[in-house]
Amino acid sequence: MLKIENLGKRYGDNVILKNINVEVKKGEVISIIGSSGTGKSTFLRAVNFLEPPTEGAVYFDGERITKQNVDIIRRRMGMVFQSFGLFSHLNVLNNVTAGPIKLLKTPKREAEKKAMELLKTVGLFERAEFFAHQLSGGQKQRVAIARCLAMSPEVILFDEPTSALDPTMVSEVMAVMRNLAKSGMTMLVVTNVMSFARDVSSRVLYIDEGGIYEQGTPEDIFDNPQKTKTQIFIQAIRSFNYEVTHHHFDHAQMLACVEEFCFRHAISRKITNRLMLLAEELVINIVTPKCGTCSLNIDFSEKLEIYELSVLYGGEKVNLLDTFNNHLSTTIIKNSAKELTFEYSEDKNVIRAKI
Amino acid sequence: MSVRLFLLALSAILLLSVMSGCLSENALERAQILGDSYVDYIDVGARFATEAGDVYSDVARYIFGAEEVLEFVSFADMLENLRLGKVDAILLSDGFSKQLQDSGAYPNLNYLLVPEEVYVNKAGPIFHTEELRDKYNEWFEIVAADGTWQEIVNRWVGVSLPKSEDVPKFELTGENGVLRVCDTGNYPPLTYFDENGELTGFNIDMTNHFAHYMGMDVHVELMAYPAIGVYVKSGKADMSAATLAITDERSEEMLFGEPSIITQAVLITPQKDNFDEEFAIGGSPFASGGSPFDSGGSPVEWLRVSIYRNLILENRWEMFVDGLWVTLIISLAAQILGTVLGAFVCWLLTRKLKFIRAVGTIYCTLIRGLPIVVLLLMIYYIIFGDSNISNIFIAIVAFSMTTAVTVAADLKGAIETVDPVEIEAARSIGFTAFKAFVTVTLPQAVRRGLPAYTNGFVELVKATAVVGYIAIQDLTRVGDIIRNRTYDAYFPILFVAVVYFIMITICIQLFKFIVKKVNVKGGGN
Repeated sequence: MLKIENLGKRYGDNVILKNINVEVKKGEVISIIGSSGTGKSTFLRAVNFLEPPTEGAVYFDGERITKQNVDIIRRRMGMVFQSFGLFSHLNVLNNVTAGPIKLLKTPKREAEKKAMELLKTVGLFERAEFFAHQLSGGQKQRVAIARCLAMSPEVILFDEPTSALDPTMVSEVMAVMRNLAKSGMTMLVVTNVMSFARDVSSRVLYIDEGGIYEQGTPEDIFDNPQKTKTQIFIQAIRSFNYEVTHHHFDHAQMLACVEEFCFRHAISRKITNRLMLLAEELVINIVTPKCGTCSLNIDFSEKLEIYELSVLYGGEKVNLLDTFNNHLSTTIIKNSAKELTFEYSEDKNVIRAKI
Repeated sequence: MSVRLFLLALSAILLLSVMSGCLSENALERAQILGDSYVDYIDVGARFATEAGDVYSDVARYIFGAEEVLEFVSFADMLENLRLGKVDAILLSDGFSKQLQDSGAYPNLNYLLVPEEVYVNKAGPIFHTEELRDKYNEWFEIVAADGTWQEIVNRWVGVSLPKSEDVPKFELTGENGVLRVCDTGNYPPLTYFDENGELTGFNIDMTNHFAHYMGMDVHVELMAYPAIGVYVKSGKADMSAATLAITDERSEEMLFGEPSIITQAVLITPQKDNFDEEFAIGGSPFASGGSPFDSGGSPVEWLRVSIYRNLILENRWEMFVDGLWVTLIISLAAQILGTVLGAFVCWLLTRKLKFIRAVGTIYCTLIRGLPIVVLLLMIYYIIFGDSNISNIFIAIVAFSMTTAVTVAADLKGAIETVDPVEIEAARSIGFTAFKAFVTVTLPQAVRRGLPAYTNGFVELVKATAVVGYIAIQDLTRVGDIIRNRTYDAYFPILFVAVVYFIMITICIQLFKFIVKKVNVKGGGN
């Protein structure tokens, strides 16, 4: 029912998406996953023309979506946003009935009756008279779903529906979405909740490098990913990056960022201290005094027990650890790292330390 | 410190001696011109008050050697400044001074008729076309010959004001159209409102005679004296009912009819003996004209007398009611029209096309950069210069234009506070851009913009006080007219202030009530 052909989106010279081809059948639940900044949201927004694609076409039930007919087609293609977008001047009930009354010319009483039914299914029957600012995040998102359903759409696009929610509220929204999927609704869901993608969806798209990098059934993607980036993503390798733009940069801030990253991923104190020590000696004492600018990366995977810190700097091929061979910092680094490697390719020097 | 004080005192003494030197020298010159017998009157000081736009400012400068001439639009202001010692003498035409003497409002004044050898003032009406001027001269020759003219003059000039039933009335049929004339309406006996609140006086009497001769109806517009010349020249009126002093300079610019009034100048000075103490205090209600602070009597008495003179006598309160009505109509209409125009300007300002946005920005910058009075006069004389659109309409246009700028800015600000995700959400349901604006953006913007909108309206009501510049009798202007009629400089101002205050307070409360209603309906955050 939804066919996406060679879809591409660019802002000037900046290509976000290219050559995306997807065909969505009725009743399919498609999860779209990938790291942030890879264009997952842009993809959804291009599909319903909130940000019209710069290349390719989208067909809805065989009809090509254009700027002219999109307002009509959107009535049958709902969308749920990360930040809810409830109409703040209307109460819950009027939020849900606004579309049917104003667009479908449904009689008010009928629209309200249907709205109350929908609010019942999302568990907010009692909140009909409330305003958005009186609701929790999870409740707001459920109202937004009800508002979407009030138009009786044939497909719903979910744009990270739970990423603005506290962890305690994610499950209530997910429960509603699970029920929807069960009822046979066609859904495209951009999500970072892997359990939903694995358990509910019929197909998973992994987006990277401006397109669909790998796709398949949840089993294919989660248990047996074929390509490297998918593997890294699925194996939950978390990365940290810090760009040093000047040799008089803010040392304390960089170290604080490293510490915060470690804290967020519950990395043990011992390893945190070692990562911070390495960052301090390598970046502050070895690389920046010589090069000025460099970039610090930390990759970590709990599953694979990988802790890797690398510093990347430009210029001619030179291993600064050799240059400062007799330096105290070099000794400290050598003692702290389990394994030290040096690479040079395309004008870039990389010193890599594994713990 | 003491050295400084000494220097200050020294410079003050020096300055004083220089000034007194000037004074006596001026007095000497004047004595040479006027003759020794006038010495008592002319050694009055160097500051003169005259009516704005009148020839007497020049007379004061060149014949009386005035160092400083203050031009007033209102006669009550001249008298009050004389009383307060801010000017030393008033110079004006004899026809008017007679009324002042009769009224007894300011008893302790000296009146010196300036001899004809020194200065004589010929004044006549001005005309827009030579054709009409020639008709007038033709008529004037007839009435001068058959004695009608003398009859009119005798009725008004040099005598007490006649009763309204003594003034001849004409059935003006208007078969040859309407004669549009302009006048000031505040200069008895030439032009003023009589006890029935009707415009009358020498000018009006004369105009009615002429219109009758022409077979035309008369339509009189009132304005400040200095505006009359421009008004006739621009063709907004066919002729002036008011007479203007004929000078060489003016004759180059304007078409004067036969001089209908030949007047002498009168120099009014305070009597020095009881200057200040008894200057403005008399027994009869009509003779009390001071401020509430120094009238000598009790405040209650002052209030009673003032209310009687300024409001009840000759039903003057009706003029205030009319003025208030005019102020309200201009304010409300300008607010409504300005809101519509402002919404359009806001629409321009929020377009994607740079060119269209620029149009909106230029409009706002232009209007913001002009004082409202200047804008009003520009629209009046330049844009609607030779059309016969009602002045009130022109005022509404001018104030709408300024209101539009504030409304546009407020609305744009309010629109920008609306969460863009809400608009996207509406679009994603299927609302068109326009429908999403009407359903989501506008209701929220209106709610957030209402407080600023209220303030804008209050500012507008106050700003309309300048419409008197284009001859509209709003509340403020009515106050001015009444002041000129009763010679009371204080009460009409205070009364107008109170009326404005009450009106604006009511408006604010009304808006507060509306804001409250809207907020309750909209969830009240």
